[in-house]
Amino acid sequence: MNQTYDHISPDLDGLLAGMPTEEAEGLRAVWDQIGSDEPTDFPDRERIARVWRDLEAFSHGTISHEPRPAVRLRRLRLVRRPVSMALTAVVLAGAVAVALWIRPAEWTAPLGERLAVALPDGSKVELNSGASLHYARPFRRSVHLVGEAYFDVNHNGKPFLVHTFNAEVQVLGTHFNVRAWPTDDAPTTVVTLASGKVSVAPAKHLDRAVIMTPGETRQVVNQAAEVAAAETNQLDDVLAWRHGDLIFKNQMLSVILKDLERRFALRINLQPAGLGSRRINLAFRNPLSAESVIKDLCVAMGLAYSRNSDGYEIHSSSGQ
Amino acid sequence: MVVETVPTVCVPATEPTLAALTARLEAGDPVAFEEIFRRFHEPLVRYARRFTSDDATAYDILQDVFMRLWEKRASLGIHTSIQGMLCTMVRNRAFNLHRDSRRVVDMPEEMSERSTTDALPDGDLEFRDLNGYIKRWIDELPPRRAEAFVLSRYHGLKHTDIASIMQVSKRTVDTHILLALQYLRKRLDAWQDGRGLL
Repeated sequence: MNQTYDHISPDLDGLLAGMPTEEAEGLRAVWDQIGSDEPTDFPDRERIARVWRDLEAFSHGTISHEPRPAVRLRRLRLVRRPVSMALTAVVLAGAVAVALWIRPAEWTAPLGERLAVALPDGSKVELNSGASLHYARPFRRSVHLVGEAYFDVNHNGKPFLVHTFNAEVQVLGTHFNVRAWPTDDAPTTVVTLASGKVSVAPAKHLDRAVIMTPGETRQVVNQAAEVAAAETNQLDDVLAWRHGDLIFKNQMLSVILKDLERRFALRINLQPAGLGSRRINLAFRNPLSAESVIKDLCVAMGLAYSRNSDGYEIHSSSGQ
Repeated sequence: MVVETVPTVCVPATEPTLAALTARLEAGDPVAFEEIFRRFHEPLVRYARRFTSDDATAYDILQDVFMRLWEKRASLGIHTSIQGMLCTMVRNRAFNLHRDSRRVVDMPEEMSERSTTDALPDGDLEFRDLNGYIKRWIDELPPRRAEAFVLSRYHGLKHTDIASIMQVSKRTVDTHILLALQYLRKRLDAWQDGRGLL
């Protein structure tokens, strides 16, 4: 009877059920003809885009636990009293100055979370779970990174430097991803360039810098004296972590498990540890629990897992 | 060393559910925040416009509501739907603005006297097509009835959610929706008859 009308709300369905069939059918038809898109030319896309730019600066470009970012000033537009406006402006200006003064020069994304940091030069950095970034004050476009981060560096003519445990990336305004976990097995700095131009050098041989082109990935393995040959990676895969996705290509199990530990703030024990050198491809869209990933990993690799007090233990399948 | 057969685990991409988005928002994920904005900004700014005298204030309300959503994300305790909560925030913000600016809100409760025949200016381009008429007919409803109807039809909200947003009983919402549909049916029938004569 009602199958021809989509999106009829269950509430309305209930109300119509108590009516004469003809009346009910008539109203269903009206509901259908009225359509599911509100007939109006409001709002204006351009103005919405402006609203989003302000919100984006607010949510991405500021520190999540910093209570009063400067963008808040826009809210004052809603207060239409000149005196309170002037007063609040003075107080806020003071608060911003104090906030800038005491702002720490070190950021760490808590385990299980990601963190967006705005640097004093306007560059933005997104830190993956457990990654940390610090710089010396006063800020001179030089930062130290432990872990994985995506950089959106402002172009202002001066070079921007990213130091990892074994490499240095030199930048002039661009977007790129750096993955450098010193605690991984075979620790490696992996730089992937999204756009612009950067150069990468081993920390101990800065003269052996190589210049990267967009779409390219370069690695500095452990204490190697040279930057490894260029590879091309799916950029979307490298940046998947920014959207909560987990994507690894031909990656060591131990490295993947370390990522899971940071991402979900738990411990994963591998027995025997030698299993960690086995490799696997893996793609998960925004997994909500570590267990959903571990379960599928174990099935694919013929392993077994069990829960323990602070996380999981993965071991060889008992049947083999 | 080249690995010959690498096992592959793959889970297909799906649109994240609202519950998952809400959870990610509460955990402070800016990407989830962006997705929520992308999904809801248009209906919300239109909803805000119902309570404001100009467009600019509606955009201000939208921005303000999303700022609050981001600031208070951890303490919001979103029990029901995030849409419902956003609508409530828009509504409260709009009413607070009216209160603060001490402007009188013109929100008549009763439908005013109107002719049921179409009496449109001939050159009125805006109302030439059915969509234009529908917009006009919805605007002809008493404001609260129009609000309830729009929340149900265009925001897809449940009657209980609408009731809690508008702070009325679910029965009142039921009545609003039915009366709105009946009114629109009358208008639509008259319009179709009129076209049939052409």
